[in-house]
Amino acid sequence: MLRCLVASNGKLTLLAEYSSDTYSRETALGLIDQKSPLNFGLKYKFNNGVNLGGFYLYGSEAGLLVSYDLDLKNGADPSGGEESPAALVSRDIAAAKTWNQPNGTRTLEEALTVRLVDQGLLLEGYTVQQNHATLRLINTRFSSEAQALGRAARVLANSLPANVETFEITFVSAGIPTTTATIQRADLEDLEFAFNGAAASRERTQLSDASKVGREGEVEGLYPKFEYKLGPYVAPSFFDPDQPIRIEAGLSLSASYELSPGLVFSGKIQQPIIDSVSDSTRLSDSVLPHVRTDGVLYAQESDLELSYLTGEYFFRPSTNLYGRVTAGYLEQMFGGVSGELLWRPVDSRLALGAEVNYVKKRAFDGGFGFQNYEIVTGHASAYYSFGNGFHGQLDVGRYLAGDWGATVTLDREFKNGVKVGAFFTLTDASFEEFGEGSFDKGIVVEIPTTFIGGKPALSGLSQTIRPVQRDGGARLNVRNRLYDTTRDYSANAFDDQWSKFWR
Amino acid sequence: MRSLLIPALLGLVAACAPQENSSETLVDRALSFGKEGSTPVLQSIRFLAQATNDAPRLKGGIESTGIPSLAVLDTTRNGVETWLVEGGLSFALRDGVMQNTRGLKDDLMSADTSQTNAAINALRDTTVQRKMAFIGPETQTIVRTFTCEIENYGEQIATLETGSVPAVVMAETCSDATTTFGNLYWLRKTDRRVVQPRQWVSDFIGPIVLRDEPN
Repeated sequence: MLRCLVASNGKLTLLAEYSSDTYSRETALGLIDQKSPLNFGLKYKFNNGVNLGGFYLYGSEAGLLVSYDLDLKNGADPSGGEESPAALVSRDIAAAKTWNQPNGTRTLEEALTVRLVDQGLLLEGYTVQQNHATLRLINTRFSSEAQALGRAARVLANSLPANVETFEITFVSAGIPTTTATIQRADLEDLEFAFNGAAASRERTQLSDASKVGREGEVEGLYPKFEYKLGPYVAPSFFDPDQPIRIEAGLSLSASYELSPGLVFSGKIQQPIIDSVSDSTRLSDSVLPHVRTDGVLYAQESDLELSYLTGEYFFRPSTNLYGRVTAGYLEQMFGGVSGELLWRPVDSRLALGAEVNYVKKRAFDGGFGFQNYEIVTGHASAYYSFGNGFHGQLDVGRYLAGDWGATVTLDREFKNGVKVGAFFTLTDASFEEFGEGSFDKGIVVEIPTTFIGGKPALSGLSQTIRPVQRDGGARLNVRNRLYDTTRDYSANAFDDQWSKFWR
Repeated sequence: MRSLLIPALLGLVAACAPQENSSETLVDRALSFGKEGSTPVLQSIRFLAQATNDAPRLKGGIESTGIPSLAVLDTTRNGVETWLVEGGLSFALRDGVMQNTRGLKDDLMSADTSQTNAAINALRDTTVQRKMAFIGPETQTIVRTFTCEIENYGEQIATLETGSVPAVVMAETCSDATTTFGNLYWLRKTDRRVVQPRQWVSDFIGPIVLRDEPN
């Protein structure tokens, strides 16, 4: 084969190719009709990364191609698309606010609630005692926790009486306190316009474990919390030889009822509208228990399906320890009970976890029934943050099909929130027992909305891609595993994004 | 030796200007920025309150867009003025020299302009250094150090919305390994207050032009 670039001005490229391949097999199968060994291509590269191209192949086929160049390292806007934060005011101005006056028309709680919500931060509780204030909040907006911390600190500095010197700001995730940042008000005032303000403010901020933080000063009427969401969903399926991309899309309704911090009852139902997954005729030939390869049967026999219906309890057993218990219909294919413990010190790169699950396989109709398959699975896990966004994970234990083994995962999380990772699993199920593909492996891509649009948001796109889904090395898809729920609140995570503290 | 940048900018602007404005200089261009005017869009309650309360105002914007905006003074603390711009933007000035911007997507995060401030206030020709900090693509802090030539370009009349003001024009030509830019400052003769600056902010944003506005 001889390929040459005929002409290019950097934007427009013309390619020509001479192929000595006669495609005899493909021609015999009627797949292509090769009339010429010459192939041509034309591509135009737009400034925004879109490429538009056309091709003429084999002397008999023509087509168009649209592609998009995505630089995962560089987001839309280097410093972010969010609006400017409030400038710090002098203490006498803050002290003169109506809520700091004896007969003020607004309360401090009202003022903090409004000002924090304006920043996408939800107030859980606060206390003010002499020269010391505490704040518990949930960040619903900023992918950078350091930026959320900076915004919260500004709100406190602009709202509290002049005598309050020390701020303790605790981040809450899944209803439990994770990390507390202690900041001196005077340091904020000194460093707002300092050239080295970002680095200096990190030096003067203490991060500590928040396991002892209770519910003092909780906003009245905050619990129970009820939320629901109705919207479309898309669930692609890849690499079916009969149809490489299959789509299930429709409407989903999810709801959650948080009775008290960390105690959540939630559920989700889905109604497919477009469903090419159930058109597949490829049924499982796995010799292992069918813990994942009956996906087509689930698609064919369910209409309105119950995705999950669970009760979850998150708690802090002790310093550096996190706990989770989940019970109910845990995922599409399994229901039961799942328990997890995670040891994760704030300033440690290493975290260790253990998870045990007792599950039964759910009925194909996506309803409330179960099938006659149950198992106890569990893993011991080690997580390590290597720095520069690289994270490793090792899980060792028993998988859904009863096989024992280990999964190795490595991912890189860019500081703009984009995450790309890969994993593989080897178990005592032999390559022959596993079947096509020999062992489980895949890649994971997560792209936050912030990366695409520049506006701050915690939502994004996430997709795991496997060349083939088999039954060996399959783990339970339980929601809200502790490491993912808490990893943004480690000191490393704050440090990685600290340049945005003043942003 | 006078920097060649400012005259070059003047010449470039003159060469690229429409024929009917063939003698337009950078100074003229900066002075004419936003003259056509547009109604400022009040986006935040604070912005609206400050505008309503007759807070000091500036008019200006990103030079490359030619779209003028209104800025109102929000706070002054530790000698730094923070100005709010319609659309959720803000910037900070110390004696008229840009210290930071917020909301521009390629913000100037902070700046050490102490030498620049001293030199332009003294109206003297000299060489200074300025440091500017930005956020890089991996959220790392990028510090750039520029060597700047400060030059007194002499007296000029600054034509503002408030009227004509006798001023002295100070030019600052800065360069590092990859970038060269020119800043201009019109200092009112009576009190050396910067009434009209043209200042480079970042690679993506370029220069921002500002001018005193009447309340």
